[in-house]
Amino acid sequence: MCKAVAPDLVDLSEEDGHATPRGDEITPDLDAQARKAVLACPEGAVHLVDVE
Amino acid sequence: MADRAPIVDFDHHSPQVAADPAKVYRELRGKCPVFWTEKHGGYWVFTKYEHVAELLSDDARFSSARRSDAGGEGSSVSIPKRPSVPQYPLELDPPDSVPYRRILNPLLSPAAAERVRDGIRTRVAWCIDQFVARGECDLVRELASAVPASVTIDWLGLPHESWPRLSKTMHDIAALNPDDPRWLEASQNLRQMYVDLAQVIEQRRRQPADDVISVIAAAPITPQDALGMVGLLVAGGVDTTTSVTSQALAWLSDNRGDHGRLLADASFLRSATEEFLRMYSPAQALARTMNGETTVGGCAIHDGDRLLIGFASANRDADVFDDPDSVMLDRFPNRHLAFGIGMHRCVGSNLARVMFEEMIRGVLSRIPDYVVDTSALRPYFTQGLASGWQQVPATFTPGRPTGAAIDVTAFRLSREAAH
Repeated sequence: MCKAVAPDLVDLSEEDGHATPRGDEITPDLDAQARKAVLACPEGAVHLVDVE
Repeated sequence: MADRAPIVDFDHHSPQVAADPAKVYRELRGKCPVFWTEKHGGYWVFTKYEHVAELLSDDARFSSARRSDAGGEGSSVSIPKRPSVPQYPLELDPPDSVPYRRILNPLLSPAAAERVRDGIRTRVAWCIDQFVARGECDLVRELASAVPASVTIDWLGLPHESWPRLSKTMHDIAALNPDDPRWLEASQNLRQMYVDLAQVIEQRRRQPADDVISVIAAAPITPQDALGMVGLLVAGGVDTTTSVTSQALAWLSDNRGDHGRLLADASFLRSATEEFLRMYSPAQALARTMNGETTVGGCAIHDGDRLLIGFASANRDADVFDDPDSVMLDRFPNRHLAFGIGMHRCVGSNLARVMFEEMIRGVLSRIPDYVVDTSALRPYFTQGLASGWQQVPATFTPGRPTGAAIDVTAFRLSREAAH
């Protein structure tokens, strides 16, 4: 689900489909995708952390 | 049993639940979301999203493994237990389940499912070709069951001509009264299917082919475990896809406003797919067994207690979903639990989604004016564990076959990899 709503932020393993974040930082233009990924995940596995 | 409370007179296999499971579970969520029932030897029932999510996320406490001291022998994930070959990895707890899951994950990853989308689309076209000129059909038997059964057969590498028997067997077992002679015949067919599967697995072990059964046969697991895994792929992937597809098609017959957008907008179709999964969760509930002692929803759960986890009920929980009994094709967020979560999340979910999308596209594009005879809709005899319509008769303006051909090689692993 996260790949579907955040295609620029998530990579799916070709081998097993596991999702991994693409990079650590969310640029402002990708903020909306990131927040959708948090909302979309039924596992509750996606979190956004404010970094100073 | 005196310390198990509250107690509700409830049987998930009852005619009352079969008639309207959404209504029954809505009332339970409101009045008594966690309760014990004395039926089937006694079990707890969990109806709220928060509790279902908790149980699915903790395999140590809420076990999927078989325990003969809890509810007798048989399948651990159904209440009552049914005699069956152990289905791995479903009936194992991590870490034991992990090696089996690693065998299946690459075969059913999102990328693997996308690689067979063209083959599935062609299969859908072939199925529709068989009835399009008649102007009438049963959307269950002739499409929603036919597609997943034939795709599963070819994907596994079983004889293609065996798909009609698989389609009928899996649907009749899920949909019919166990006292119905057709159910008995289906049950006998299923037993024979397992005998046949065991022979095919042994053949593939000695002489591998370019198919999924060969991958499983070559894995470092026993022949019995391989049989259980293949049986799981069949049991888990055929009638479940049939169920959500047939219910969605019935709904779309009465709600035609978004047909064009579903065809034109892939992201809208994806969103609609998730909404139909939420609304018409094919797996109503599955079971676990309590390891140790704990408290859930204020109820003391004891070691060995059997637990019924209400996936479909959780998906209608108003604490999580606005207007949960309404279909909103663009609903977001939609954190439904139709495929479960955690270590036992449905391994076939990606393939199921592709089959569903292509069947919806096929119907909306080939027979766009189809109308379902809603007076002929009959729910499954019991909707305790699975749900759906026994048949979905429809009429439409006759059309022309496309000439789509059966191509079993579309699901060969090497062809998938070459894509």
